Amino acid sequence: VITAIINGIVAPPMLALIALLGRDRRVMGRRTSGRLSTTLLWITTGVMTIAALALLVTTVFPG
Amino acid sequence: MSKPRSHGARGWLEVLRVLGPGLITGASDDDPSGIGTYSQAGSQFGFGVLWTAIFTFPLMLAVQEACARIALHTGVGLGTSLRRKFPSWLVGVCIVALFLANTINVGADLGAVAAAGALLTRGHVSAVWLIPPIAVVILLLQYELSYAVIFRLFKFLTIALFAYIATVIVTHPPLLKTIESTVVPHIELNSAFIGIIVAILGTTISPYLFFWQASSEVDEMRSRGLATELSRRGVSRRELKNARVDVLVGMAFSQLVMYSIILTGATVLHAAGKTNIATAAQAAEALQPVAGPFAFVLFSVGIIGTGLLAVPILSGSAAYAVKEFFGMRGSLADKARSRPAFYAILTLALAGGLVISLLGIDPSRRW
Repeated sequence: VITAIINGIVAPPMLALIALLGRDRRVMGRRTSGRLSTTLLWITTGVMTIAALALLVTTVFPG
Repeated sequence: MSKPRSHGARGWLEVLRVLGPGLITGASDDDPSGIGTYSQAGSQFGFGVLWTAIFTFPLMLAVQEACARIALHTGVGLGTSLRRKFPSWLVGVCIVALFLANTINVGADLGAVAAAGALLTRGHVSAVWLIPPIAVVILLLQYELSYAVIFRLFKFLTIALFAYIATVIVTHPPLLKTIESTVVPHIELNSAFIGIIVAILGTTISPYLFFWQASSEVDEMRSRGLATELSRRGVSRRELKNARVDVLVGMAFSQLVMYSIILTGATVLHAAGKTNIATAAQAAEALQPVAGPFAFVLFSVGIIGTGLLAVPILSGSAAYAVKEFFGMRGSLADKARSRPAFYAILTLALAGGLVISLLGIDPSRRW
């Protein structure tokens, strides 16, 4: 489970980079991410960031 | 768009043919560390965490589809694409984090496979003695086998995951309660619950899956004879569509297995008051008295199968990411002797995991 939490903390910054990469016309040409895909990627990044921060806050200030 | 399908069977064959990197990546997502996390979630919070398997599905799908599409279009792995676009210190930090996370994950998975093996021998063989031989066998197979054989073996190992779907069937979950908690999210604001949510998200949407998906798509193109980056660049609508089917099936299968494991934890372990499960092997052990020896054997065999799949993928994706970052060549398809640097990174990730799992196991405890 500690392994899983580490993955949960490492993933969000990489997701942000992947979202930026997939939308870049110079990299992807005509195959850039669609709006739905990009939105879902940013939601994932957001949700995982919030969850990781919430864990930090509830661990530092229990109750 | 799609051809007219006069026979359903042909449609299914078509689907089976396009399955590859997506299916394998999806299956490797339910690694022993993931099984431990899902078991803990189900046993500790019961049906209250079942919804996460459904709600994380579109997120995971979008992430893996983006990784596959970027790799198919650019013809190179994620490490290379990231390095070309972003400052190298930033990508470097990510790659180091990936390498460390994967190494720790290898350690956890090796330990879990050994623990499950020890359980199946009814404690006659201690887990500590199983860890080194398992690690050595995995490494030798990666060194010696050709790309085609390794990937056929990976596809074969995904079958192990059906064990968890079978476990649900033999444990009879309550139907109405299951349906209700599947679609209605439940959230608690305490560090235990948030911790399990972070763990579920992290083990479902893990960095190694991003890199493996991408490198795997590139290897797949190379195996079709596209040896240079230039020849791999660009992707047709049809290739993209096939890759989407592959990713969709792989991730749906992955989430179905995740759902099954949480459900087993909730139906059997939580209901029986066994709420302090922390690892996959503990879950298997705890199942035995409540759900019978058949559920126990299924669960344990599943841990071993998925561990043997995940360990080479974890060390492999670390090696791919590092070599892509440094612009080196090498892949599992190459002979070890011709790509010493690539195989050295691979070995380092596995050796690091081996040390972590040996340190993590209490030698005085016999399983």
